[in-house]
Amino acid sequence: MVNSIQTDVTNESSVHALLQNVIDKHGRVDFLLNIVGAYKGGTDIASTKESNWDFMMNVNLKSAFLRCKAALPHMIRQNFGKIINVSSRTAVEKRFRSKSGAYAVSKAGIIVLTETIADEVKKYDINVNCIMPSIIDTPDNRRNFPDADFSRWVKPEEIAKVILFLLSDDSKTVSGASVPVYGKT
Amino acid sequence: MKTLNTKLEEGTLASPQRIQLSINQKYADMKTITARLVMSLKEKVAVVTGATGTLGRVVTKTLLEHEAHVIST
Repeated sequence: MVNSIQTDVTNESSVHALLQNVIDKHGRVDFLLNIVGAYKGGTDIASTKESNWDFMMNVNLKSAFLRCKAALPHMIRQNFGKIINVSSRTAVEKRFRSKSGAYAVSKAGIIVLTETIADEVKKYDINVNCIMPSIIDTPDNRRNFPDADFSRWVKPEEIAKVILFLLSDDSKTVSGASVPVYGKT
Repeated sequence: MKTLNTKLEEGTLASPQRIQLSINQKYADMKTITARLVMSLKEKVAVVTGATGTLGRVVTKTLLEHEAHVIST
């Protein structure tokens, strides 16, 4: 069953209310999947508008921080939890960063956030990891890159399998990891 | 030929029976892994943000297939 709750993921009160709502209804939160994100690029750093920089940091990085912050006390209390953040290949490969500086910095921040939380909660049964996709094979991306070789792009279903593994008991020993999910592109 | 037969009897080479046994074991292992995954996710409470995007939708659907409770934003 899916419950859909409208939340401003960049607002601490709104995110706190979301988690409280989940706790009130279910009594616990086992998994937190921070998939929300956005991309604004096309300009080098010298030309990047402050508003675009702030937007990238807010949607991609601050939102993940706020949700982790809101979920962690509950996970610590129940001594169980799995957090999956979404970084990007851009965070670790500098050849993809030009004209995507704000995005790259926000996604590199996700890796540091993930590693930091994983270290801070390592005495609990809580795993915190992130995945690093590149271009995902979605209808939007196919429209935006009509001349690309789609056969090399990773499908969302393939990434979902990696996420499921990171949520499963079989990945208990994996925490603080940044897992590349860009196949052989 | 005599050497080959001797090795087969001693089990140092892969006979068809041994290969089949190995396949059966791997299939059993896969079923165990799948069962473990189902048990890992069943009834778990999952908060998924970005569930309206393509990846979020696929992940949400997969979690539901494994009988997790999903709260999406």
